[in-house]
Amino acid sequence: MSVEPEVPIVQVEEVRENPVLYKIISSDNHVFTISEHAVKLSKTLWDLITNLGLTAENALDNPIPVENVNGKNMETIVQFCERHKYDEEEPEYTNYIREFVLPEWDRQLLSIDNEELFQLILATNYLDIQKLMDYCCRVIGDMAKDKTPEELRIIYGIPTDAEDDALERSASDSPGPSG
Amino acid sequence: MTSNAPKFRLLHLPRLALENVLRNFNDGNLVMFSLCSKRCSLVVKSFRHGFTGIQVTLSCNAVCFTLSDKDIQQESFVIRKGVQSNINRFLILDGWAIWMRKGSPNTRSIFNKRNWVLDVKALIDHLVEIFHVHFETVKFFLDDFHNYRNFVQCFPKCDNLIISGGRQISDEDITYVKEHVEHKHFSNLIQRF
Repeated sequence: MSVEPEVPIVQVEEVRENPVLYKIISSDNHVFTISEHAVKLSKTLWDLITNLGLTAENALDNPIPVENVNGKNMETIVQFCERHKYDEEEPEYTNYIREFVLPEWDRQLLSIDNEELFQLILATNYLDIQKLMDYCCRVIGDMAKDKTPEELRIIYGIPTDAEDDALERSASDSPGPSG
Repeated sequence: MTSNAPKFRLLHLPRLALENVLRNFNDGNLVMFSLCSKRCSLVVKSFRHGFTGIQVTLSCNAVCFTLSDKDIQQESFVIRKGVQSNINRFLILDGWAIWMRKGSPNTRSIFNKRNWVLDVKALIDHLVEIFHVHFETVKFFLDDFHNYRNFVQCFPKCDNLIISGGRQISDEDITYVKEHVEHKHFSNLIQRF
């Protein structure tokens, strides 16, 4: 925890009102500062902070390394968490099919290309940020509106049955770890 | 659709994320997705969608399906009787006509027959298969519905059977439907003036 990478600290959003700040180091050694309220949106990070026993006094001296998330995604995640840190808790959904409006600010934040969005979801999944996961998945779900199966297959890169079968055959033909 | 942008690798998502995406699909999106491939069909089958049943309304020129869950009625699927020229069957989902092309090489097609009854049957089979739901309500609107008997076989069992219409519906017609569709409740809404 004592190693400080020689890269500039990224201040994603100025945090004025909350005195407790934490430092997070991404996989590519970018350092981010995040407020306590914001970091609580990530169950993974908050569990880590709790387990490490970080406090207001020692938090900034003990940056938290997150090796599964790169700086680009971490920047988006910190922005998101700071933006939503004071949001009221979401009511539990009673329907499996979800109905909610994606705020424009978030839609803009998530207007990134498909591969970036994919990587952001993996990062969000790892950090366990439910709201961001819901919003990302809404963006992906919206791609399916009014689309035929053939269009969906292209949008989501879905292999055909023949491709799936070929993949399965090659997987079963290839030698295992001991072969 | 011709963009060279990278595809979104939906099936590579972690399971929870994939389910979260599917929760943003309505019933129409789920059906379209299930037709992309066998794997997609399996994904939809294993998804806890919350639908409790199907409501069906049949009339002489259209069959309408509504999937319901415990709180809301979802959008309807409509299969019209007419098939335009040599174009294939289309579904109306959320008010949009979606053409279900016959012989699309890469996706599953449930409408191959260009026969209204068989296409309705195919969609019913598919809905029941992927959503594991039963028929809550089957309503026959019998006015001018001369070949309704062809459809009765599609619905061997339902909770609520309703017969409706306003003109010259015979007792024989009513009896036929009642005898061939096993039901818990029956409503006769025929108005003979």
